[in-house]
Order: sequence, then C-alpha cells, then structure tokens
Amino acid sequence: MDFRQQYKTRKKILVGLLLVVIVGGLFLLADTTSVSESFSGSVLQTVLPFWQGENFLTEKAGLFLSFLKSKKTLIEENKSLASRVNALEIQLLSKHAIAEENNDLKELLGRSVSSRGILGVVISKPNRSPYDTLLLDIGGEVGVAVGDKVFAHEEVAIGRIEAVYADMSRVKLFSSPGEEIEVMIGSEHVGAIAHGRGGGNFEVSLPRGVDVAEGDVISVPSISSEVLGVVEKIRAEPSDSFQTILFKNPVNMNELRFVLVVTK
Amino acid sequence: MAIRLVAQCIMFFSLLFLPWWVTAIAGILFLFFLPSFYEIIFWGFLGDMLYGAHITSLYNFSYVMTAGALVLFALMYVAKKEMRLYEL
Repeated sequence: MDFRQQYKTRKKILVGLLLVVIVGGLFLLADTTSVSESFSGSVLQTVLPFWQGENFLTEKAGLFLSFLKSKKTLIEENKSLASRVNALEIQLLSKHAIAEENNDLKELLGRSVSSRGILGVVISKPNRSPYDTLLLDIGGEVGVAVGDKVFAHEEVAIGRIEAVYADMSRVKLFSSPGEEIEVMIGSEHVGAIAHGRGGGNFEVSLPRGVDVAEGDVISVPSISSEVLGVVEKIRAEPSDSFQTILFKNPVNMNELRFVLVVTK
Repeated sequence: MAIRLVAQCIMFFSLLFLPWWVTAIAGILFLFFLPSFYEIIFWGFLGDMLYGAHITSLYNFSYVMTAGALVLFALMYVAKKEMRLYEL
C-alpha cells in the first residue's frame, strides 16, 4: 500500500469516527433537552387527523361488513352472544356485591379506594412501533400527567403515561421490553419482579418450591384490585432451582379501543 | 423521481398504519432498489417522534428507529459498493 492509499484509508476512518461522534452527540443532546418533547408534540399534532380518519373508516367499514353477513349467521351469533351476556351478567352481579363489600370494609378501616379516571380513545396501537407504546387522544388539557396508571376494562393494569402533550399522551406498556414491575402471583400473593417481553407478555423467575399453576392471576400490589396477567406457561428444568413463569395480559392490545387513565 | 415519491408515500402510510416490521421491510427494499435512500433516516426519526419511549435496558435511549435506520443505511451503502450489480 503506498502513502496516498494509506492517507485515503486514514481519512475515511477519521470521517467515519467523526460522523459517529456527531450523531452520538446529537442523540445525547436530543435526549437531555425538552426540544425533542415539544417537537414530538408538534409531529403528533400534524399526523393526528390521519389517525382520526383511520378510526372513522374502521368504524364505518365494520358497519358495512356487518351488512354482508348472512341472516342465519347473524341469528346464531346473536343467540350465542345473548346466552353469554346472560351468564356474565349473573357473574357480574355477585362480583359487584363482593367488590362493594370489599370497598365498605376498606373504608371502615380508614382506606379509601375511590380514584378519578379519564376515558381515553386509543389512536395508535402498540404493534406499530418496536417500543410497545399506545397513543391516546387525551392529554394535559384534561388533567393527564406523566406517571398516571392506565387501565383496560377498569381493572387490568396495562401501563403508565410516559409523555403528555396538550390533547394527546403516550403510554408505555408494562410489557415493554426491559420494563420491570413488582407483582403478586396466585392466591398466596407471592411477591416477585416481572420483566416485560413485549406485546402484553411478561416473564418472572421464582424458586421451584413456590406453587404456581397455569391460569393463576397475577396482580399489581395495590389497595384496589389491579390485574396484570394470567399465567400461560411454566418452564421448569429438573436441574434448575428456579422456574420461569410466562404470563400474558388478558387484554389484546391490538384490539384495544378505550382505556381508563387514573390520575393521581 | 416518481418512484421516489411513491416510496416516500409508502413509508409514511406504513409508519402510521402498519406494524413496524412492515415499515422496516419496506425501508430495506427501498434502500436496496433506490439509489441512496437516505430518507430512511428521516422516517426512522419520525417513528421515534411518534412512538418513541425511553428503553430501560438501553440506558433510557429513545431513538431506536433512527439508530436502526442509520445502521441499515450504512450497511447498505457498504454492501452496494461491494456488489457487482451496483458497479454502473
């Protein structure tokens, strides 16, 4: 290799390194300043009409497709749904009575469980990014704040508010890769730390002696009932002193339309 | 020019309405078939602005899509230089 070639190679390496340093510096700068937050808010405001249009079209397309279904199928579906609703209503009656009794007892002992919730519409589902985040149509204007807990179907904890804009907010799901959350497992309320695995899935490691079964409910330690998931699979090797429990949030995040944001 | 414009439209709508891996595949295809598709870095950045969150396991880094786009762009740049297909 002659001197000119060596010089060219060195120059290329130097330019490459310089680019890496500049890009890295920009990332750090963007991460530590509020510029990125306000810019992100403006971008979200710009694309919001597209998502609103999508929601509108999805709703209309659903209505149109229901017209195409045959009458017989609809009658059968209606019958099966009516019987299911009936069964669930009966279950719900007893559940309501128990929940009321539970709340009364807590209040008698000086603990109030009432909390303020704001209903939000999901405008972007978590499968659209590798971050496992949801975008909601409510923001700082209605009192949403960073750190507020987000629930699906009132009792299923799904995540926390990560960023708040004027009329939008971003939710980071508890199941986001790398997230850790304290949980209680099964009827014996065994405490452990669950790790997010993305898409509503979690993993938790427990000593083999702890009794856990598939279908056990996993909840978040709280005065009110907060379900996080249901045990799907238990992996235990005979040579291992620990068992790995895989559990899933009972809500399908990709079909979620409404959530409840509980403000502090 | 028209193909490039169509590519931008596909990237924009897939970023907004389709799963992220569809956008990633589309980006890779455009990187491969279009001459220096540097716009991919912009789409990655837009993705981070829309959906980005701090990732605990990556020291709270929140520009995964931009970084991914940069890496893909650099890899494709080097790969294209080495390929006979792109000599002309």
